[in-house]
Amino acid sequence: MSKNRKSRVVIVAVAILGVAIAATVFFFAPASSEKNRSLSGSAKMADASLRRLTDTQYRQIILDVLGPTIRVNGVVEPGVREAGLIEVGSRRASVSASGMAQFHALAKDIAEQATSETNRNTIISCVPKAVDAWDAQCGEQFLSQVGRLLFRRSLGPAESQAIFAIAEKSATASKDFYKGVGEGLSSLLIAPQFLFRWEIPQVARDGTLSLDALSKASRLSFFLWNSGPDLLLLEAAESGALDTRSGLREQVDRMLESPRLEAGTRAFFIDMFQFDHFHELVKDAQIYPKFSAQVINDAEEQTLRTVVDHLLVRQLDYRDLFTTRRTFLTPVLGAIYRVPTPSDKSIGMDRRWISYEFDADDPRPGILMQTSFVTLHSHPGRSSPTLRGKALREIFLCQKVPDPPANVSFTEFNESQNSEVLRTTRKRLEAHATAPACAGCHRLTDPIGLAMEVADSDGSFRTEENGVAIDTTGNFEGTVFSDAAGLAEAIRNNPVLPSCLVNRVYSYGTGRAVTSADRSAQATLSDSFAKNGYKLRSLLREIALDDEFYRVPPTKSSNLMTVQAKATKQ
Amino acid sequence: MYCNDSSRSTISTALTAILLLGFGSNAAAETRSFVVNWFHLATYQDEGDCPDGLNPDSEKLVQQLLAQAGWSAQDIQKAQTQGAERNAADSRIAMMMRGHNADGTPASAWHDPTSVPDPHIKTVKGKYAIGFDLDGKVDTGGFVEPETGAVGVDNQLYRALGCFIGYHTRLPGRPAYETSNWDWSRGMPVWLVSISGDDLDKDGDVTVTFDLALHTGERNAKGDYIADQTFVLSTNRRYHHVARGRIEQGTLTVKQPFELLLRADGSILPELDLVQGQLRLDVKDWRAPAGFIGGYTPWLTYWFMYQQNAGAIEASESINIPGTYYTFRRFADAEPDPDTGQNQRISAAFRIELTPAMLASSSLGTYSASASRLKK
Repeated sequence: MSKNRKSRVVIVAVAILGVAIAATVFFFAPASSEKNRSLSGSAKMADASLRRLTDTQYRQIILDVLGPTIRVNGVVEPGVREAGLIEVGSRRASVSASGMAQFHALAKDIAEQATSETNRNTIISCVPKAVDAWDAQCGEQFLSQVGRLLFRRSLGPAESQAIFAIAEKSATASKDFYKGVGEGLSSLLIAPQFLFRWEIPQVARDGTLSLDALSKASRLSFFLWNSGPDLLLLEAAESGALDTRSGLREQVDRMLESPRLEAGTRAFFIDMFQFDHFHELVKDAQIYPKFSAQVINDAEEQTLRTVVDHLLVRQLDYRDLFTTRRTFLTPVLGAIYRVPTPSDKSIGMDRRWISYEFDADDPRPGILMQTSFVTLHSHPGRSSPTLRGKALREIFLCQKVPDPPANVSFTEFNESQNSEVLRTTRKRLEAHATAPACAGCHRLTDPIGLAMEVADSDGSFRTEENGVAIDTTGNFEGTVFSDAAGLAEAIRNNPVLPSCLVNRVYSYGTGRAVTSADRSAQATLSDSFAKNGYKLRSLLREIALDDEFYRVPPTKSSNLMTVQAKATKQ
Repeated sequence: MYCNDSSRSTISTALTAILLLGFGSNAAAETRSFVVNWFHLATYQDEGDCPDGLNPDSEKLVQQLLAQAGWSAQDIQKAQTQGAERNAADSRIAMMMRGHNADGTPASAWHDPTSVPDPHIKTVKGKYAIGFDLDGKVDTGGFVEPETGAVGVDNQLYRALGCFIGYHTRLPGRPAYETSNWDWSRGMPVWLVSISGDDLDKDGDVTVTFDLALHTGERNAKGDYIADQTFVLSTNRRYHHVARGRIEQGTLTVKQPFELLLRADGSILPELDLVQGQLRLDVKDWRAPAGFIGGYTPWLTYWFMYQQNAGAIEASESINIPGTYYTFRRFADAEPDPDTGQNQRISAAFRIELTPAMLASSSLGTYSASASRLKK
């Protein structure tokens, strides 16, 4: 790259960052609605924490607010996974210069789509008096309505004034009403009030710190719907109803019955199952000719459909997800599983997915043997019992398997790939695990991972490796099993499995890792989960109605803006 | 609400229920199904098979044809110079219009091959050809089968084409034009084969069923059909054919003549039409059965494969369009026209390679399926 070009790139980057910072400072002017949020002395010392929107949340909000005709043509800057969840890492996620540029580009593109001739009449509810001039009544009405949904609260006077001014200036300069609306919308979409979820504390009736009503609505909405609050929820927050038990119950029950719960459930499991790694999944096409981008898409969707069907539609026991034989397949997945999948597309109807139930004696029950899990936790050219065992413990049992030591030697393992004696992965791993430094962790991962060896790296079923029958026997915490079905049963019956889900769901909602201070509350939730037959919906309800869920733990000063600082500005 | 659809359960149950059903033969204990992954003329390049030499390559053929059309050497050279697109276009027209009507006016040699004299292309005169003794007469055909040693092998199509450069090859080489078309054509209807028998891993009688799929298939990065995908069978009985054969020592043979008609793609072959068919498949590896299928096929249909893309065929594949027409007509060895006596069909053998697949039948929205029960 030439020096001049480099300079230009730097200038553009700085300019974009500058715009972002300017926007941030500009919009930081306190909104009157926020002024109404009472801040006691103790509240002033607490952090108002920010959580950056994740990619799925960004998309979901655009879908919910602007409708299905708007496409998000890009990807939001990836988040950081903490305590097993990107949602927890979202508290630490910032926006880099390039990330801001990406948000900026997305905002421009979305605004252009929304105000295009094709979409404007369905998205903008009013019609301007003239299209070649700014119509304050119509423009401000639209921007206020959309702004309320994007900011998850009503825009304050200063915010409104700033947005309206941008829109009017653009419309006047371009002599195009819709151009002005687009500029206003674009400004809303790059505002920190939209890109970050603001969680503002207030003093609760019992004197502890709790989220204020609007923050509570937002937490609830992202928890259950992976999106911002709808108008009913905002109204409940603004009216104070959400701060009452009955008001909260009414909203929670409404939200749990809404079809939008599916989007929320999908988002949670995408995060928990670490499906973001599908973006970087590759397989060697020479070794696995069936594997393709279509398989990747369908593998993720298969598991999500299985989860939604099992937990939401049929409202079954979470633990049975690990042993269920019922799933959904497409033609490319059928080829991987070697089961018949004649989709309706084959006969000219627009349906690719079919439901499918594996035979009772099929050794591939449950979501652990689905293509998503076994392909994500394998190498590009071979399966990996170690990666699978590690992932199983970390994702589903909330256990931490230590990383391999820096000086680990794979010589033994790699050199034995072509060995006539060590023809199976089991044999090679046994040889590798003879090193004391390796043995400790491999004891945790390999016995369970080896049971899944009948699924190759691309998910296809096999009974032999290099001509030798695959030995799938093992032992999981005292339970002896002979195959993957036995392992699935052992995992299903392990008491840590449901308590890990409770942990993850709670962390997902609060955006913070469960600590020892939460032990008692977690135990109560776990007991309740068990009493309710391990039904997801009951767990979500229990958490959503729990005061603890909205509690703000006292924190030390951080790099986030404190309530005190905010109060000072006011 | 959500992604549930109760009708899917019905489909799933139906599929599961009929997994145990055989296909093609109710009595059969086992059925293994496949998609035809590769199909092309069986060629067997051998030393001395073209004693008169090969037919000219495309550059020389174009020179010859343009000279016949009256072009000067200078103009021909100019047309064959890179970048002379205009001249190249003119040369195509000249090549096409090199024929003459009875009244002497120019005629398209590609559309009326008899408008030029028979150029007498060079043909195979070697001893070997892949194929079958289709007429049961060892004194006809004249080839010896290189794999089986059978004599009286009838493969006149190969005799006609085997001295063109693109066909002068043998496995693992494949005839260039047919295979590249097969690889490129995404509109090619899918051909399906099912093999049924009591125990396909042992010697015994089998039933071989040919069908057409209702839809195209997914291919992988190498262009092969993805193994184990499901195809819905066409309900058109015209494309459903059954043959009786036998497996012995890992080789499936069908000697009892069968008929076969499968719709194809114009760029490859308008249709595969065989009578007095025979089949030989190596089934030692059930994941990749491969072999040859033979029979008498309408030579004019085969010629249309070249004719419908004549410009490229002559200029790039060096196949003389009128030359193949005359040769096919002369070499045709079956089904004489009752009026003219001209044989309508020509003996042929084709390479066929199979990939495991699952088949499902569709009738009014309900499914049944035949699972390939594969050992590995």
